[in-house]
Amino acid sequence: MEIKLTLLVLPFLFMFGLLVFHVILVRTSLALGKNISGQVLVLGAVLGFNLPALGLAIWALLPMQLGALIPCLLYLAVVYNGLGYGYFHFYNMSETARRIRVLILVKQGKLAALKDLSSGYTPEAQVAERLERLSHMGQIKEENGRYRIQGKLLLNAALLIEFYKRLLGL
Amino acid sequence: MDFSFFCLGLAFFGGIWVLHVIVWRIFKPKGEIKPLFLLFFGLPGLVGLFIWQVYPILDPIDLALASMVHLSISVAYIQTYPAISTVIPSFRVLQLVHHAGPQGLKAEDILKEFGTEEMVGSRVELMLEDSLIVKDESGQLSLSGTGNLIASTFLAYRALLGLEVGKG
Repeated sequence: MEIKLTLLVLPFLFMFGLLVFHVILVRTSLALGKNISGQVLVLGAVLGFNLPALGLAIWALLPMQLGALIPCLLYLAVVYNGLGYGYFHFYNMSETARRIRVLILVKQGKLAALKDLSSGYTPEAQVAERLERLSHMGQIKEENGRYRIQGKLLLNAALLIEFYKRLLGL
Repeated sequence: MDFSFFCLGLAFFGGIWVLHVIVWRIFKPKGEIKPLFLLFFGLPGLVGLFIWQVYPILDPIDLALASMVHLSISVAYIQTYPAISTVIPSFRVLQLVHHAGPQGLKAEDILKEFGTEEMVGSRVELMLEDSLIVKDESGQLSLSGTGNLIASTFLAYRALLGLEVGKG
């Protein structure tokens, strides 16, 4: 029973630790004037925190036998990385989601009606923002005014999502 | 130690996911986040409550651990879903550049594929359907209680990170 309670509490500690770790990374990066993509930092934080999380889990579960420890670690790895992936998207939403941007604009009184969208949130500005972001992430490159694919990671994700859309009939 | 809770959590998620595919193919529910929350969190919550209170075939701790497995995978899935259900501009840009091949594309050519309606209009409609934004008779927009909570949460989160509000 005690071990199961530990397994229940550990993911909450992991997520709190991840948040603190990410805040430290971002603030340190800002303080040092490093121009690192926010997405790269958060991905690094989520993946990198696997190590301290693993250490904490082993420390909390010792002196458990190896045969019982491995399934416990598997459970914790699935839960942490699932929640960590959720956290990655949460950060991404805060950075890139149009819905969140619109909600904040409405809250700040900068968007009172749908017609205001065309003046304050133009397609030109948004496309330019995305081209810059994708270039910064190394997914596309610009040469002589033309953009070409550079990295395959996000492109493969985009193609996978197209396939899944067809599965859901969207 | 019995690890059936792990398989049970996976089975919970698998069952709900199959139900999700069936429901979405047949009914195509309006809104985006609310129906997913109801299906992935509301329904399992009710089933869990039923098992805990009415038909206690599982120890409450095992049930909580199984819920944790289901919750973590569901959170990951729901966070990915907006990328599936609507046009993600970054992905659209990548697809356009990819299909252009080695000659690439100019920024103007990419821009031609986007309009204000596609960039933000569809999102505002989804937020109206999810009751995050309220539109009065004169077309004025305001936030619902939930919309206000979400906006405040993200503003506080960005402040905690020491970052400005995202550009969307």
